[in-house]
Amino acid sequence: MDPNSQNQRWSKWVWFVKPGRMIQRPFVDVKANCARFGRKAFGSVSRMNVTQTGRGYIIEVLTEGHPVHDQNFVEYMRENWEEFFVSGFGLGTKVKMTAKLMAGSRQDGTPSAQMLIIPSLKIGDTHA
Amino acid sequence: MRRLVLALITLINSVFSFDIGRAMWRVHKNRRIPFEIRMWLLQGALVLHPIRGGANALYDTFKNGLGLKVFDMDVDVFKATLIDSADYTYSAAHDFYGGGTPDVPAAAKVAESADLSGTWSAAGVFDSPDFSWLTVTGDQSEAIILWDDTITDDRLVAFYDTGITGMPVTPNGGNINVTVHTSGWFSL
Repeated sequence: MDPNSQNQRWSKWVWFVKPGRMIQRPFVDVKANCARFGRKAFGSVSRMNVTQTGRGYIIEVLTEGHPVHDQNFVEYMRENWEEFFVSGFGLGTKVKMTAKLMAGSRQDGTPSAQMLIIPSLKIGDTHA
Repeated sequence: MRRLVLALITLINSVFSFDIGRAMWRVHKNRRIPFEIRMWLLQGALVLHPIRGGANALYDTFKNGLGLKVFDMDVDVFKATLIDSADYTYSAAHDFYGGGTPDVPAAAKVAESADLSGTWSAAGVFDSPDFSWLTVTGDQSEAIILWDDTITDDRLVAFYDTGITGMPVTPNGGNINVTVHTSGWFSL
């Protein structure tokens, strides 16, 4: 996969979710529901990471092909995901969303952004 | 016969340029293959593994520095630099990113990040938020160096040139956004 090839646009969407009511939901259910909803919202050319923190959840989606430079689209996604989280975690749920262009054109004449994804390594790995 | 097999393996490795050494090591563990042949394969793996070009690694000097309490992973300022591999070749013995006699030549440094705000977790993982190199120009780049900006002469930490999605990257004047692995930069 070369995210920096022409005509691709990669974006990263992050939701910080603080559940409103104390609805106890198993983490596996949260992950499964987010994955299902994310697939509907973004399609399969996406990668999702769900993290549970002390205050709630962080949902990160790296996806290709969505007009993240279009504020109307960003607002549309914000409303839909907020509705999804509120229906799942109950009233009073607080949702904060960020959307960032990772690779591709902003359609404003500036040079295209490019993206790198760094792997992780463990001590003990040696340079061959 | 043994020499013939080793010569053949060397030829395959040079033609296809993949890590046949490790593949042979896996085959070596297969007990259905006659012992003698497995031993040849093991010898081949040991011989050929160093041939493989490039892999991500921590600098030996960094590992040594950890033991000597040179680095404070939770407090020091860490930065990442985009590297042109045409001007820099990794060596585990390299130590200094900056200073009077840096091991990394200036020509190899295409773009430097700001403070990565790296964190050291209880599980022994060094992690940081995603970051960007802004309005990058310069040579095509193939590697990334992580280094400590707090210590005098800027000590080297880790070198990445393998398995980076999007590499090699040719700067076009725009931003280069970097996503750090969910497991962090590295872990003990």
